[in-house]
Order: sequence, then structure tokens, then C-alpha cells
Amino acid sequence: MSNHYQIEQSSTKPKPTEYIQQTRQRYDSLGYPPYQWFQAEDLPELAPLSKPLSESKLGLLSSAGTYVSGQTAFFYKDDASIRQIPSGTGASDLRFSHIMENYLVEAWQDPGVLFPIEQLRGMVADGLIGSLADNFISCMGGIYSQRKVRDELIPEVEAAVDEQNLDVLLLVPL
Amino acid sequence: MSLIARHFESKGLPTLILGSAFDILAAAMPPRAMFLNYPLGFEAGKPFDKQNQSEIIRAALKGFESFDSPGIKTMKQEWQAGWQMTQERANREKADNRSTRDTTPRYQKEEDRLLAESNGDNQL
Repeated sequence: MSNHYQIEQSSTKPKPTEYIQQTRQRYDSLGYPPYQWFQAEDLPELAPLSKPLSESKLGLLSSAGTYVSGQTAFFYKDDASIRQIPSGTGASDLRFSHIMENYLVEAWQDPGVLFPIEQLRGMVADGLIGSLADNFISCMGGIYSQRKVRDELIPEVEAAVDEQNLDVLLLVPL
Repeated sequence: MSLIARHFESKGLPTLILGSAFDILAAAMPPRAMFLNYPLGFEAGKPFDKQNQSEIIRAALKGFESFDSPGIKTMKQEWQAGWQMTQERANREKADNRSTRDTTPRYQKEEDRLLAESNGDNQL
């Protein structure tokens, strides 16, 4: 493995939005305490795939506050819980609760913009992915406390992921 | 999410993030990230456009087999109309009108609340 982090600068338009700076300014103007984005100080490890994607079992983790109708929705103050979403769930039963409600306007109409459950099933049908986890996982993005993420959220996600015997994990943040 | 990806990768599980916030990804250095330059809320593609969603997810997942070192790759898709739509929305809603941050579950639909409450405390 190479010993550097390879960032391919975006050549797409528009110029990538500066969310960290925007959020800092908005929170400041609202009198909220600043949100602490995670700042990495060392290189991540890169685990090699043990087999091709077409033979792999894939899990999905969404931080869009996805839940299935009938489950308890997420709350907005540092909710570090998770929901397990059966990978056979119909798109019309998917819901979202996330502090950034402005970003959910379309997802509430078409869950496929944030939770690609139908596309992933299609990829299995086409032989591009081996199989899917029985349960996908969702959590609330925008948790203020990194301690809560480390001590509460990650162990919960890990326990749920460990049950699935995954080969690869796709993460779709909001 | 990058923190979670880094954690699993250190335990031997390959991960891939499909994200639309370039600066947040770059700060957090996840093991494998595909950057989609769409407005937030469309990380998996355009609404009511199954063909675009399919194109995005299929292209993104190729990332599992294309990273030789940790990093961020940029996807080629662009969406000018989506940026206009979200900008118009932002101009309309100048005030930050998000709900209070408390521990009340925030249901997308009232019927979900009734259903969940009749199920008891149900997260699975």
C-alpha cells in the first residue's frame, strides 16, 4: 500500500461547496455551539477485498436517519441509535428523519436519492454484487458528540454488521 | 461516516463511501470515497430518475475494486439543474426553520408515529 492519501481534486462543476465553512458561519449566527467535523491525523488502513464484488456480500449503512414505517423514528438531539432495515423492504415503506430536514424534501418523495435499496437489488439480479446483507443499517448523521459516535454508535453499528458476515460495506452519508 | 469507515477497515472489512461533501471527506480521509458533485440529499442520484440512480450506484461501486491506496475519487456526473433547484429553495427559506433538537422521535408521517407507538419501542 502506498503511504499517502490520494485526493483526486474535483474537475466537475460547480466548484465543490465548502460545507464546513458554511456550517460554521450558520451555527455561529444562530448561536449554536460549533459542529466538530472529524479531522483525521493519520492515514486510514485499506483492507483488500477478499473476493470480487460479484461474489461478495454487501452491507449498507446510511446516516440519513432512514427507518421503516412501523419503526420508531430518530430524534434530533444526538441520537446514537441505529435501525435495521431488511434489504427486501419496499421503497414505499422507507422514511427519513434527520436534523437537516431541508435536505430530505425529495427523499421523502423518492427514497432512492439517499437509500439505494432498489438499485442494489438490481445489481444482485444482474450479477454485479454477490448478495446483500439480510439487514441494512441506518443511523442519524449530525451527532454533535464524537464521544457518542465512538462509544455508543460505532459499537452498535459494529454489532449489527458483525451479525451479517459481510465482505464489503457501502456507506451513504447525509 | 468516515470515522466508521476507518474503524471497519482497520478490522479488515473493506468499505466505500459515496458522498457529496468534498471538504468533509477530505478532512476525514476515509479509506475509499467516491465524491458525487450533487447537492446534499442526492448522494444516490436524482429524484424520480431510476436511470441516473442506477448509473451512480453502479459507477460508485466500481470503486471497491479500483483503489490501490486510500483516497477520494471524483465521479464524472454533474447536475446543474439540481444546484439551481436547491439554491432557489435556500433563497426561499432564509431562516433556519429546523425542528427543535430534543429527544422526541421525528416522524416523516403521522401514520408512522401511530404505527410505531402501537408496536411499542420498536427499532428492529
